[in-house]
Amino acid sequence: MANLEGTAASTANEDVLLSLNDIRRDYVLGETRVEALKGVSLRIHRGEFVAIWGPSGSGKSSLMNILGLVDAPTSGEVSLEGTPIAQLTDNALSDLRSRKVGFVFQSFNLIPVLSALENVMVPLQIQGVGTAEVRERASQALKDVGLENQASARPDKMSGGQRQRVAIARALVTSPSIVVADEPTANLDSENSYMVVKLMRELNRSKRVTFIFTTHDPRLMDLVDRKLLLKDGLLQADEAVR
Amino acid sequence: MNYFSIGFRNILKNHRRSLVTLLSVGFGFASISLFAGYIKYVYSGLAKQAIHGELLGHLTVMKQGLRTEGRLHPAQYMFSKEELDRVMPILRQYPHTRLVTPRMSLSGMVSNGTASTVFVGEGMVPEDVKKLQGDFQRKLSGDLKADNPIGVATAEDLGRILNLKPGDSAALLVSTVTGQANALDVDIVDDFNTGNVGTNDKFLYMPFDLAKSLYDFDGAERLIVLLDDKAFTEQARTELTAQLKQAGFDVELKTWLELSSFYSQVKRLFDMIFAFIFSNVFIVVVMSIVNSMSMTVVERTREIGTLRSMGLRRSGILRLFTTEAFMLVVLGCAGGLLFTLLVRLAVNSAGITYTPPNSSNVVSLMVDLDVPRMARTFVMLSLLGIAAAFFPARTAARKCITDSLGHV
Ligand SMILES: Nc1ncnc2c1ncn2[C@@H]1O[C@H](COP(=O)(O)OP(=O)(O)OP(=O)(O)O)[C@@H](O)[C@H]1O
Ligand SMILES: [Mg+2]
Repeated sequence: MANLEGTAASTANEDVLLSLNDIRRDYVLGETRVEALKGVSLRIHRGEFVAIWGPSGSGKSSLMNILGLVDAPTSGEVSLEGTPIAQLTDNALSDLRSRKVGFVFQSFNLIPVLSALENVMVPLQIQGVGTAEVRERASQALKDVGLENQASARPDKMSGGQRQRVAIARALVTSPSIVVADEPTANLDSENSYMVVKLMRELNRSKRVTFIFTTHDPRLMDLVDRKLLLKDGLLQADEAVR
Repeated sequence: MNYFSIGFRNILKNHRRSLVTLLSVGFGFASISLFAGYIKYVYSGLAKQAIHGELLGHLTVMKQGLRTEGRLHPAQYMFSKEELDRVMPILRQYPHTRLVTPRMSLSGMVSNGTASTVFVGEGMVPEDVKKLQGDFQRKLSGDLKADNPIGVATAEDLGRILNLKPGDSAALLVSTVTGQANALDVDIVDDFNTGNVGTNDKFLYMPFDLAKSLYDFDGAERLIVLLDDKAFTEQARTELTAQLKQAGFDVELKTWLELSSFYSQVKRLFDMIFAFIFSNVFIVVVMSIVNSMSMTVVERTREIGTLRSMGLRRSGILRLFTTEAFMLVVLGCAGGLLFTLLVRLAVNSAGITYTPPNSSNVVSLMVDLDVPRMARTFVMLSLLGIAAAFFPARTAARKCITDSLGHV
C-alpha cells in the first residue's frame, strides 16, 4: 500500500493537531472478535475540513470515536497537539475533551429540557465559566449559526436542521481545536444536509476550527479540503480536493 | 452546570412518575411527622399528669435506702422534725424551686362500718396540693379541705367498692411507726380518678397532719420539690444532691420521670411503634425514589453519553442525578410538611377524645410538632434519596461513552 500519510496538506507538518499511529480497534462479542480498524495511521492538521467516507461497516464511527477521544484504541497511539492521550486519567481526558473537542451527533443529542440557548451554554458551564460570560458567549455562538431568534425554544419545537445548527453552536461555543461529527446529516433531508455542512464549512473558514465528519452523501464532498476513504477498517485513499 | 434547573425540569417533564414519588415522599414524611407529633403530645400530657396529676412534683427527696429498707426500719429512713427544719430551707433557697412540701405514705384498711378493703394512702399538705396541681385537672388528685383535718379523698373505684361518697364517713386502720394498731374516723370530702385502673381502687389522700398522727411520727417520709420548669429537673437534681451531701444528708433525689413508671412504659411502647412505622414508611419511600431514579438514569443514558463527550466528569453525572433525587425529597417533604400542618390543624380543632388503654380517663387527641424528629426524618430521607440516585448514576457514569451514546 502506498504511503498515504501526509499526502494532503503535507506542507503543514508542523501544525499537526491530531495524530493517529497504527490504530486498531477490535470489538469482542462473546466468542467473536470484530476487527473494526485494522491499523489506521493519520494526521489531521489545524484548520482542515475533512470528510471520511466509505461503505457501511467500514469503521467510520469507530475511527470518529477515537478521534473524539471518547473511545480508546485496542492498540496504536493517539496524540492531540503532540500529547499522547493513552496515559491520561478519566478526569484529565474529560477536561481535555471539554477544552479541545466539540461534538455534533447524528441525532443531535440536545438536552430536551433545556432551551436552545441553554443547550449551547452547557459546555461552558462544564468548564466552570462564569454565568455572565457563559450567556454572552452562548448567545454569540447561537448568532453565528443564525438562530439568535430561537434562543428560548426547546429542541422539540425546532426542525431537524435547526436542532443540528444548535448542536453546531454547542460544539463551537468553547472554541475547540477540533469538531468531530459522525454522520451529522444522516437525519436531515438533502436541503438541510447541504445547509448544515455549508455552515460548518463557513465556520471552519471564519473561526479556523478543524472539522472532521463522516457522510455517505457524495454531494457534500464538494465542500471539503480532504477526503479519507475507509474500507474494511483500512484507509484506502486520502486525497486533497482541488 | 445548572444541575438544579436540569433536575427541576426533568421532574416536571416526567410529571406522572414524579408525582407518584412526591406523593410517597410527602405522605411518608407526613405520617412520620404526624405520629411523632401525636406521641410528643402524649408524652407532654403524661409528663404533666405525672408532675401535676400524680402529684410527683419534679423531684422527690428521700433518705438513701428508704426504698429498700424503709419498710423494715421506718423511723430510721424518715426525716425527723429537726432534720426537716434543716433540709427544707436548703431546698427552698434553690433559685428554681417553687414549692417544697412534705409527704408521708401509709397503707392499711379502710372500712365503711360493715365492709373493709386495702388502701394505699398518702398524707399531703392540702394547700400545697393545690399549688402542685396548678391548673391541671383536679379530678386526677382530688381536693383536700384545709379546714377539715379529718377530711380524706378516695379514688373513685375505691369509693365504689365500699359505696363511699363525698359526705360519708369511714374508718382507717393502720399500724404506727412502732407497729401498734391505730384507727381513726375520717370524713370523705372528695373523690378523684388516678387515670390508672391499677391504682384507682386503692388510693386515698389525706391531710399531712392526719397521716402524721395515724403513723404516730412527727416528721416526713419524703419531700416533694416543684420547680418553675421541668427543663431544670436534671440540673436541680445534681445541684441539690451536692448541696444536701455537703450539709451532711445522705439523701437520694428521684425525678418524676424515674418515679412515674407509667410514663416510661408508655414512652417505651410508643417509641417502639414509632420505630416500626418509621422503618416501614422509610422502606416504601426509598423504594419509590430508587425506582424513579433508576428509570430516569436509564432513560437518560444518551444524555449522559452526550455530557460525558462534552467533557463532564463522572462526578458531574453523579451530581446531576443526586441533585434531582434531593430535589424530589425536598419537594416531597415540603408537601408533606404542608399536609402535616393541615391535618394537625384539623385534628386539633376537631376536639377528638378517647380512652387510652390502662387508663380510666378520657383524654383528648392532639398533635404537636416534633421539629427535631421531623428534621432528622428530612435529613435521613435526603441521604437515602441521594444514595438511591447515586448507585444507578454511578453505574451509568462508568459505562463507556460510546455505549451510552449508542443507547436508544
Ligand atoms: N460496540 C460494538 N460492538 C461490536 N461490534 C461493533 C461495535 N461497534 C461497531 N462494531 C462493528 O465494527 C464494524 C465497524 O463499525 P462502525 O460502526 O465503525 O462502521 P461505520 O463505518 O460507522 O458503519 P455505518 O456507515 O453503518 O455507520 C462493524 O462490523 C460493526 O458491526
Ligand atoms: Mg457509523
